[in-house]
Amino acid sequence: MFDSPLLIVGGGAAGMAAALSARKRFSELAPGTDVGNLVTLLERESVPGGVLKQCIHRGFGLTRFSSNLTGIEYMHRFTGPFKRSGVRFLPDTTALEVCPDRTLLAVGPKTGRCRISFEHLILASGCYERPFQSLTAAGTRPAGIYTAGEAQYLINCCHAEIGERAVILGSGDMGQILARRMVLKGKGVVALIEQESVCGGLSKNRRDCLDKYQIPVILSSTIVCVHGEGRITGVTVRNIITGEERLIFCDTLVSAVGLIPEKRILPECWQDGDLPDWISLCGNCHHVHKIVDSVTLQAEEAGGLAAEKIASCHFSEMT
Amino acid sequence: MNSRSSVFDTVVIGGGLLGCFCALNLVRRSAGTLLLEKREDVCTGMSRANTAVIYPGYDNHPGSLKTNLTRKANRDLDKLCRKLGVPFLRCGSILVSCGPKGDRMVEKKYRQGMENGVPGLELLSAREIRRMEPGLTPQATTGLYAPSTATVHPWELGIAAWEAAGELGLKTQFCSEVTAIWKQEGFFCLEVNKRQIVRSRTVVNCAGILADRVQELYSRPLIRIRAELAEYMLYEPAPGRAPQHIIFSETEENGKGITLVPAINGKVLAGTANRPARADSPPATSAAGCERLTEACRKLFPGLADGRRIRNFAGLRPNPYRPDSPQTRLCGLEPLITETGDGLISLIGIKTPGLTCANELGRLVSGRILGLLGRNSAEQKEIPRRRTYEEYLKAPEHQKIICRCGNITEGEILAAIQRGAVTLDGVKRRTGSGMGLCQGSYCSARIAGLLMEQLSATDGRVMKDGRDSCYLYHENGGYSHV
Repeated sequence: MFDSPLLIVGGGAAGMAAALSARKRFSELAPGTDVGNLVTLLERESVPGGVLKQCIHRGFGLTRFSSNLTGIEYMHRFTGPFKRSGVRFLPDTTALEVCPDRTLLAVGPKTGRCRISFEHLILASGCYERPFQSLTAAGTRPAGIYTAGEAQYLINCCHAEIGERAVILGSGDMGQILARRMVLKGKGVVALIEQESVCGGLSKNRRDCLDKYQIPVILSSTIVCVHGEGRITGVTVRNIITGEERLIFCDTLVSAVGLIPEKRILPECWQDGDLPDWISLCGNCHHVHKIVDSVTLQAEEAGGLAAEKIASCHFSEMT
Repeated sequence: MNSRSSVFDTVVIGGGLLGCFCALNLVRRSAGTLLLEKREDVCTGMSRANTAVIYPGYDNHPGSLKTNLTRKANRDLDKLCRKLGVPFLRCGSILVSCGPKGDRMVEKKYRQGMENGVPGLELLSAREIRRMEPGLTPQATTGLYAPSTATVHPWELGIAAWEAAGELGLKTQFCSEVTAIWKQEGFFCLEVNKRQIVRSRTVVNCAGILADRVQELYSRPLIRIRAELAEYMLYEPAPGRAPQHIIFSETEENGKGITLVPAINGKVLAGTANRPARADSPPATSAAGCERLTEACRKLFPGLADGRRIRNFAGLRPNPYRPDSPQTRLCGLEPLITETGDGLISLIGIKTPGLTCANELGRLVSGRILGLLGRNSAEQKEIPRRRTYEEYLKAPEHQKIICRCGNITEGEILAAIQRGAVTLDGVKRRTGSGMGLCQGSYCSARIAGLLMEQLSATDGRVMKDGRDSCYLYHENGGYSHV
């Protein structure tokens, strides 16, 4: 057990921005204090960066830095300052549960199972992906079905091959960017399937991903059946207006059907309702942001406010 | 394998739940046993997809083998699970009906249960049902409460039995399909994968959904299997919206009502919607089945059906019949345990309560095998303590969470691989990884990396579940685990 006045869960874009902004505010309010004793950040992976680590495409930082960065470049604008910031960083450490007595249960190789008490908690834990399985389509359960984030991780971080002929479900930004990535790797995208009558995502992505690489889009349709025994061999796609069905052969299915804010470490009653004033959410676990720049902005605000709150009781006590 | 010395006392064909328990009971009595399993792991067939209920024993006629075994098995379950180190939940069950036809059935089962000596049975009024399960449909009229009903993950039980059997000397050969059986010089000869010959004095056929076909390799089966698909839906209930007991339901229409099982891991399993199937095709769900389950669930337990669905899946079930009278319904367990008279015992078409009675059936079969071997007096060894793999589970460097939904550490995954998992689903069955709301979208890639490292599969060939189910596509695709 140890304490940290400000505890941040998640070391992605939101967590790093919150930590940096809190540190800055602390040094403004009480110059010379050791920020390492004030702010702790937990990250489940070995290095900070979160999902930005697997985003090798551009489109990041347009408003924040007025330049068109890749996700990794955007990440590096923060990881450097973050490492130098003196914020206590606990890598490979997963937060398990927030308790109403202002403690957090965490586990990791460095700390073991430990309880951290805090005054304020910033949850910056991002999202998890809604998996294809939850759509409860008919058919078999073969290998070769990935979520977009999983596929992106495998391709960009593990340098693995996931398939030659992919069907992608969901035309949001995730689906579109992954479709382009597959095409750029020399793999075929047989179809991008969208249940709405128009394509989702930012218009910029539609132009840069779908139009530029002529990715076939099937609108008003959804996957109703999965085929294949070992590996997936095809999907049945149904037009939800006409009811017409067709079989599409593929060896890979990537689903990009939604992101769900990761708030599961909070007690059930706080997950959808009002939070106590000692918890703030920022980034994608607050709501799913369209661009990372707005994640950073929101997190910086949360970090600054938390620092002010802590300083107002802490430093007055000390003096 | 031609040397005369390599004759096993018995060969068990099929490493499902029943095969594992037959093997365990055989090695407990010091029979030199070989388990032949077609797949790469144990418990990959029917044992991995069923309702997971340990029945109390009111469903069958008094005095029948089914009743006797079920009652005894249910009573001994705490001890068995404790010895095997398998978590189980004795949550009790309520059988509910919503009309006169169902009421009569519930009352009949109550009388039958009382006669069978099922402990703690109580008939419930509508009001008492509401008190015990406020989320149940207000239409429920009569209930039968059985406190001894329990639930356990069938694959966990099977895997634990297999591990215990391994400690006692069971030999196991995976990816080994029996392709022919004959007798030579008084010994059974089993041809494996059309290449290797294994010799043994006796044979136990526990080949599950294909048990009748395995029997056919040697002699005409007395029992045949009609395969049936059972579909299930898995829910992650909203807080306070889950049933506290296993709920069985009697319907006013024809056919069986659905069952809701509050599983050990906090999820709720709803099943089943059934339809005919082929025994050799992979289990597939259907739109109709999904709809039927959802609808039935909404009627029976409205709050649950509105909760989050995790996934749906299907499993095969055997419906036994006699080839000479295919339309006659087979009752009881006795006819399903067949002997050739010269050393081959088959378990064909055992479904409910196969899970409940797995150990009892294993004991029964091993007793007969020992009789055939002329070693009736063989002493029974204790079930050994399960290896704990603390070097992985407790080591600080492995305390990193890999599966966020189930909070499963790297150490637990490494231990599962040490215990015999060779596929993603093998790890899943041993640890519970990938069973949560994200369905492995975060952890699969990481677990695949650990599997590659541990199994030295540098070519990137890690399977999801069985041959040809490559997790990655390109077999030479590089993979650098991050």
